[in-house]
Amino acid sequence: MQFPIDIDPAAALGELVELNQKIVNGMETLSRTRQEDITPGVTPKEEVWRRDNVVLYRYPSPANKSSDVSVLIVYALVNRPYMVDLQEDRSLVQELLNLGVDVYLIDWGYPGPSDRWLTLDDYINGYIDDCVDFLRSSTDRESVNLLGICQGGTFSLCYSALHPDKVRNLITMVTPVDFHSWDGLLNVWAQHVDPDLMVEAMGNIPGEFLNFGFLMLKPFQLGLRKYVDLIDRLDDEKHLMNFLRMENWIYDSPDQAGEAYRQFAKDFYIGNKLIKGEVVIGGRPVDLAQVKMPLLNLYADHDHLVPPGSSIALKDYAGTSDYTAQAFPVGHIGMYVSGKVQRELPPTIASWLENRA
Amino acid sequence: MDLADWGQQVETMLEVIAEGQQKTWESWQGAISALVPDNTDNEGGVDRSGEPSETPLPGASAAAAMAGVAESFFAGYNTMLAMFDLPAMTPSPAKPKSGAAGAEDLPGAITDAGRLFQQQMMLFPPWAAGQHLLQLLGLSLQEIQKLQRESFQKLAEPWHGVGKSGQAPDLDADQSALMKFSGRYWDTFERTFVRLLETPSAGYTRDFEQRSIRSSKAWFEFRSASFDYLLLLGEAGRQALVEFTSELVSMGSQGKTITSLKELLREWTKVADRVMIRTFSSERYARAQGRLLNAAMTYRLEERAAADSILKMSHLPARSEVDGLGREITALRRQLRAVQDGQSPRTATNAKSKPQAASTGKKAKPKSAKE
Repeated sequence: MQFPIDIDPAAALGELVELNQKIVNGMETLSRTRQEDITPGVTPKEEVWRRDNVVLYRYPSPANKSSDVSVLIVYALVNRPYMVDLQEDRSLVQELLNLGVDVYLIDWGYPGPSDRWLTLDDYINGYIDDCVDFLRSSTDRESVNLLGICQGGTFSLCYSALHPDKVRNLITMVTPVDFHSWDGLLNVWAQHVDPDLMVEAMGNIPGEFLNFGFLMLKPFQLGLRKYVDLIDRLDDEKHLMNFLRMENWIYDSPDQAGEAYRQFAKDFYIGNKLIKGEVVIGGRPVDLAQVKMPLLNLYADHDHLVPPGSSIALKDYAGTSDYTAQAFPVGHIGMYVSGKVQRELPPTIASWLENRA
Repeated sequence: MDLADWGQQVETMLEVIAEGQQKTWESWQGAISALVPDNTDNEGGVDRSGEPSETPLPGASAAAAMAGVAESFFAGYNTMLAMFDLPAMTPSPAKPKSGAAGAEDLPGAITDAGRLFQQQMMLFPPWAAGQHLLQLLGLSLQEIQKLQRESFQKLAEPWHGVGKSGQAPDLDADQSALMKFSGRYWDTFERTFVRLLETPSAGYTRDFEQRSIRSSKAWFEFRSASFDYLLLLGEAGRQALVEFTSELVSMGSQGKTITSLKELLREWTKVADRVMIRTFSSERYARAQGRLLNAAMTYRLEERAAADSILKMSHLPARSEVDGLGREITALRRQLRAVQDGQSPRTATNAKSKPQAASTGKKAKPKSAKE
């Protein structure tokens, strides 16, 4: 048997010297970087509708593209939606535009103290419904295509169940449906939390609080190793910019409106009422069986936030006869930023929509 | 000096006081009478009692009347001052004894005077009763101290049990002895000091005391939950170290080696994350985390209640008032939206709606034939 650690002191010192050299080079790169260089959202967009903090953006198609297909992206409340347009080579929005899909996106904004009383009814039957109505009007169509991402996918499912006549095609991406899938740590932790107490004590749930919870899912990897690995590639400007943009997004977490959080935590995470048909929004029950429009369910095989089982369960509850599921061999964040997924995901979405236009 | 002398002196003092008071009163009475206007215009006037006045009241000019008033007041004032000279009228203590050389022995004189004073105090009935009372008080104090000692022993005894039964942490146990010790510590804390806090309060500060007790209990629970949570994390860290060591041993037995610091860190991160995720997935961790979070929120609520009280006393808006305003604003927004959309205010149902122009940017178009 051999002693497992065989680090030559001279080699270790050399490693440290090399590390310091990388840090120095990286500092030079950093000193040339300004905040505006990592400002997210690279694709031009225009504001077409606004109510309170919520803004609907439209991404104009490239000049040489015309489109009969449009999609409304509904992102989660817990993070900023510009993740889908992070940078030139990491932009789901840009890829869809290049494939001839008109893209609209709901920006939820940053809830303030007066938004503490916004409910899921306000978000789903209010803001989403307003945006859908605007889209129906502006595109001269009776129904729209929805692309719901993560919690936005759950919202889109609820909306589609409540307003099936307004949704033509529904795409859910890394969307939790069965919240009692116990291979997800968030699902386990949520069972012992008192959302009523949290909302009474804090009002809006701070973004930093939720962020900390997400980081605790992989504390050493996300809290230590990520930064050590960064040092190794500090002199790679492209990698550094990508990292900084990701960091900017990770820590740019909006607060959660208190009442919306309360209902989402109690009814979805703790009660798992979505698949039981017991969620009530705006006085109406949400019945997934009413989701009868064509449904494309995209999920990540190595998702630690929304385990695959949580997304796959949709198949057993949706009432559609046109159900398609596709997995990607990445994690939750990889669905937006992985180079491999960027090559496969947009064409999957575009072709699926075009076939059902 | 004997008791008879004392008695005579006291009698003299009392006579002087009485005489002084009488003179003072007579002077002021005269002054007050001088201020009363003269009601008799004719000879043989009538005094205030209605009887014929034998001596007409002074009806001199106002200046003379005021002078008379002032004179009377000052006479009474002087009499009062004379009363304060009484101490000078009492015989002074025995003069200091003279020594062989004729010098004064002041310390000795003070000691003799003190002893004399004490003897006389003992003879004076009220003071004798006081001495007896003091003896009784001394006995009572001893009894009180004994009761206090017994009560304190009752309070302290549970703590002896915590220390005696605590052992050095057994690192191989499933639940470390440290966690058991922590549990015993907090149980004992609750059985002793917390129970003291729970005694009923009364009076004007009752509400404040009740709130303070709730805050204290919330704080205790928060500290207890924090401690248990940190212990759990510590256990996970220790377990990560154990498994990392096992991993290294396994590598060694297979002839594999770690040749760089980066590789060492990578291995450690891999093992530590694996152990952490396993710990975090356990019911025990979820309960501890939930307990910590709920305790923190409860304590935060108590903090806020206290802060609200202070803000209200300072005429500043409290959190609860701001929340109420936010609620009103949200409700008004909903009503405004309903009015703008031409609907009744949103309450429950939401029927199928036609595309309508919103106040900002929506366009109203006829229904399309497209599906």
